Amino acid sequence: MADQIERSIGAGVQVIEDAETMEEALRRAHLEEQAGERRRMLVNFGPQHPSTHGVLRVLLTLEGETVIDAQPDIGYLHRNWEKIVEGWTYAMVVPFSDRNDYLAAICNEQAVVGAVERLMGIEVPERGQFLRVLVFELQRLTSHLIWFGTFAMDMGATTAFLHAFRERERCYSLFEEITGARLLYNYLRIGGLRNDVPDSWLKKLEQFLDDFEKEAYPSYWDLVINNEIFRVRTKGIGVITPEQAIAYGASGPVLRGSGIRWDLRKVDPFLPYDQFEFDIPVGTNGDAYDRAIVRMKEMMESVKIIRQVMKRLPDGPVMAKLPRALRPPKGQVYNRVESPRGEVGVYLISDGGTGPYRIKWRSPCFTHLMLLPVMARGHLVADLVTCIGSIDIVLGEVDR
Amino acid sequence: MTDEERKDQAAAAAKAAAAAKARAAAGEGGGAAAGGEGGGDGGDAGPVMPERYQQFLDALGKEFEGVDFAPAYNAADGFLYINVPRDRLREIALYLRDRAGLNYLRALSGVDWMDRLQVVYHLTRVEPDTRPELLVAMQVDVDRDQAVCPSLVDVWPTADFNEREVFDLFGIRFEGHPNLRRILLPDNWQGGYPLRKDFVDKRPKRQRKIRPR
Repeated sequence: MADQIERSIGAGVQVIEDAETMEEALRRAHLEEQAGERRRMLVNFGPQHPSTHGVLRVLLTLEGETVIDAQPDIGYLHRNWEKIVEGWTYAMVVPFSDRNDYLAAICNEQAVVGAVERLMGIEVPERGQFLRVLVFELQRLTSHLIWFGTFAMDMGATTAFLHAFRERERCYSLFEEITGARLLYNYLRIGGLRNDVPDSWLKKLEQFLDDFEKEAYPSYWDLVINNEIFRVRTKGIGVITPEQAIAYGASGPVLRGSGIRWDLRKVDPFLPYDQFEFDIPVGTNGDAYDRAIVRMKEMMESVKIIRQVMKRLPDGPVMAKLPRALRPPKGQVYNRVESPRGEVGVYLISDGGTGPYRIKWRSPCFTHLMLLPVMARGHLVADLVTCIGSIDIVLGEVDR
Repeated sequence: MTDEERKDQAAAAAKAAAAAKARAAAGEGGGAAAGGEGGGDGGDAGPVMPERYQQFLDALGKEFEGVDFAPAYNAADGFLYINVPRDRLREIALYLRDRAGLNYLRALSGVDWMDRLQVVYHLTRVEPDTRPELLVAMQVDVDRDQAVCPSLVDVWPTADFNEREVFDLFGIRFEGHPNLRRILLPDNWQGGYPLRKDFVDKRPKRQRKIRPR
């Protein structure tokens, strides 16, 4: 073959000996394809890609457009939260913990505050506990609303995003009225809450819940979830079997989407959740569609819980009486809460001082990212976007 | 420590013990007293350990004779903290997963105790609609200079990223890990392990800019 090339080009032109002609290349590719070894490509996905919900980089091994392997590369937002808070007092740790999972700040606060309370044996007054449940569930609602909007946007449905944000804005205005902030609240204090809520606020909340239940929520189902395109894009995509979910430490809607009814609010109660009635929705197939359905149904369960709290809200103080200096005794505690994304755990070690000796943050999204290769394998690149969206990722919490 | 502080602490401990008893009576399994680290100090109130933990400990002691687990029940979070020697970690982990049914690794943390490093595994059993019976935390001591620990990725796949994180931030090498690389710190990191207590940041301190008003 090389001889032929040299002849056709003529003398005086250097011919690269090993150069492969088009025909040879095609033939080889054809033979390799027949032998089952197709050419693989390594492609960067992210870190600046809108569907990665932040700065997530995924190293994709592709065969054509089929994902063979997807290895997440994280750490772009790493600020070593655990080291920074080591010299701080406990009161300083709480607002900084808001920044970890910035879409569910109240849940982070409860994780930190609950750890100190467990260690010191502080009993929060009943009204404080009930109000914590209330804001906790309202936070779950807002977080799922953002998930709903962004997940639909990942599928290419831009309108749903605006519909979700309309309701979310109302939620944030409600939060703003009682906490003074729209996103990062610093509302929970060790021993209770910063301030009580007025009755007028509860009326506004009720009005919002009525509107949400009657108008917005059914429209979400009609717009997106019952849409044929959405179903085709999510059904059978990113399947996680129950065994895989447990082995890889999945929690929250990801675990429940695989059909395992496991919710810390029921099986490992942390706030007075055992006093309220609510269901734990579960999926059956463990695909992206099931996880979406679980989150959608959880929104309504949150509304149910909030209504029960408002009906039975007792009077009294919201803050316990505390010693002037917060010095938990020597010891360790692992406090865990069910955040919208899964199990958020705080492993706190106290040396008897005013601040933590060591805090470890157990983050659900960090754990769920291990399932990304499991979910994406064999799917198209467009479905990888579905997989990332279906674990409801927040990079601030992954990288901490 | 002044007298006042000591009084405060004693009062807190007493209160914690009372709360723990109340919760144990309610069958919640979570109390609010501090179990001392490694069964050392802080356990003056003596939190009551539920019966099922004693049965678990008996079976564990029968299986691994001669191992000092130094069990300490922590009423604050309901976990039973046991010390596990490093050279028998793998077999004990396999026993806990297959025979004791702890199929779920909740959290894997590193701790720097100045004289030694420690890896803590919080374990539980996930079963649909069931409250977990056993909450066990394994504590494995690791030498500071020769920081090596067996990897448990094949026992609980959750350990994969978590071990990489501990490797990155504490410098504990997990032997047998299939892909032990940096995960959170950048590739051009200055060196050193930030979560160790003796870590010194070599980067120059940034001047604080104060805007003139």
